[in-house]
Amino acid sequence: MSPGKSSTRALALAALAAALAGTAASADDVGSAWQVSRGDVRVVCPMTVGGSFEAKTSSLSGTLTLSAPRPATFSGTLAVDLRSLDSGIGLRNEHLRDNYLEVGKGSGYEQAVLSDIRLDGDSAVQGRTGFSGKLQLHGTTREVKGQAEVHRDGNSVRVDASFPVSVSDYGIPKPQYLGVGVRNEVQVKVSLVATPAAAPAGAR
Amino acid sequence: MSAGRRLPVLLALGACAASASPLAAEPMFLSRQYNRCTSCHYSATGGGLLTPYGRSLSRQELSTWGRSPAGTAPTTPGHGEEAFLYGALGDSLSPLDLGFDTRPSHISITSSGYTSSSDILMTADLQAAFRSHGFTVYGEFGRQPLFKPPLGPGTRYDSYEWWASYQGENGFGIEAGRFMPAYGINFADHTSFNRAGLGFDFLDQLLGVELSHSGGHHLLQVALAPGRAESILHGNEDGRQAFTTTGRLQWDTSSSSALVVSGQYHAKSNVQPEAAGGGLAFGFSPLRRLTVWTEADLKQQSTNTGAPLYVLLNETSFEVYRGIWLKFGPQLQTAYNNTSGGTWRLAFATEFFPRTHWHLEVDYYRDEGRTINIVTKTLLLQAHLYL
Repeated sequence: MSPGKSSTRALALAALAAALAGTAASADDVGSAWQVSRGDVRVVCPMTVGGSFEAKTSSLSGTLTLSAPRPATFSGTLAVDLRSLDSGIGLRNEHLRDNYLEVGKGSGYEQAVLSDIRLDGDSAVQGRTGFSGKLQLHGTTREVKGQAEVHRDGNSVRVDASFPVSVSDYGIPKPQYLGVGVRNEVQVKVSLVATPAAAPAGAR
Repeated sequence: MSAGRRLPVLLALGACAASASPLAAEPMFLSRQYNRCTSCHYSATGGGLLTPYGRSLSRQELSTWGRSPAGTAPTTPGHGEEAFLYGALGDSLSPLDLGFDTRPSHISITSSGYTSSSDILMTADLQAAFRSHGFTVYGEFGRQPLFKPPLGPGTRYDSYEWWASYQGENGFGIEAGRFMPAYGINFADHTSFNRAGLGFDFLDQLLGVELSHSGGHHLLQVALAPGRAESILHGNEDGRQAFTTTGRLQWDTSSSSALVVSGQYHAKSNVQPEAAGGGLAFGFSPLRRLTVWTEADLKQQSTNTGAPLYVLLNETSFEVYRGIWLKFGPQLQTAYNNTSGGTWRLAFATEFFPRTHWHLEVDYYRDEGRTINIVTKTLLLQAHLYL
């Protein structure tokens, strides 16, 4: 069962990227870049019979560059390798990757990518903030909105972000197996730590 | 053996028989992120007939060697070794789901220097369910070994569970019939002190109604009944026909942890005083193959002036290899009016799921009286075949 898990992972990755972008920058940091040094993405999938399960991955990568301070806007992407999503059960993983996320279709399906990340506040934000971004998943791109908690620790930034994803919005078949399914809306939760990266040429 | 010395052995024999009831649930699968029984069982309290999903899971994820070869379709309802009678009938019975549950067992009990051994066919039950558009009709019929008076010793053919239910899309549900009320953690071992010790043994189903609400993080179940089904349907033979209610709230703190609050009440009957109790349980899975459940309960009777009965237990389950589980369960049950009394139990189990619906189990219990110097050791071997 559980095709919805993989899709949620991708979404979570996107949210993480968004949160990362929001926390790292400050008003005078336009052009500064932040790279994900480590991260975890959890997709919480509520089941039609009650309860929920999580699909997890640590395969989160990407670099974000502050392009505007107010509201804080970032170029670059955060990407999650959907092939690494793990729900704790082999059969569920197979269904998730092959039947629902269809990672075998190649480009646009293997990863979930979050881009065009924008915070509700300015780039100096600490603590809780809203964010939005564009999530590419299952060959489809849709806007997502969520909440992020940003904490700075020395030279690094920790971001905990979450956002909902509607599976049907991305053309993903309804996750269902032998009468047990995943509800349409899954929650993506991302925790990441980002550190300064070398600024791209011509950024300033 | 004198009657006095035989007593602990006979009591243990009865207790072990109860443990082999076909209502087995497996809370250890919390480690697989299954925090609700309804993923795999028709019954919301767990145990009994598996759903098609539960059958598939039994083969693909629980059995050591049963999994479908890579690249093949894992499950087609009505077919494959996970299906009823290994798929011999195909889908000719659809949409009716059937199962056959039997448990040949061997019990050896030692107490006060005496040993008693016996081979027992614990159960041989046919189970059936029909589910459509949120409605479920469920029933079973089979052989029931009866060890305790007034019903036993002996054997009878009867149904211990039958009910109809409706589960709405909005989360509300209703169930009516004969069913085991929801309380605490429904461990597979019905001799667990939070089961038999609190009145949830294998023939303690209610004849009544259960209302429920299920959400993304919670499951609330409230049962109301005029009494125990055995007492109502079989001539009130044990005098336990009195208003009974139970409540259970499960809060899923994560996909692999849950907090459970339970309560129970029954009015005064011909043989039992008014009583009420409650409990708190918490389960979590810190590792993918490890599940830890801990439960604490108390129960007080209106005739008692002293301390209530307390129960404290733990069940820790670890999958050492695919399909092979080890369990350890220390348990304490005190006595009414005497917190120093009661019994200490150390329970050990090894469970092996070699192929789909083949379940081999070895249980060992060491029960020690806290105020009387009697130690009872029980070895139970079971072959659980679920066809």
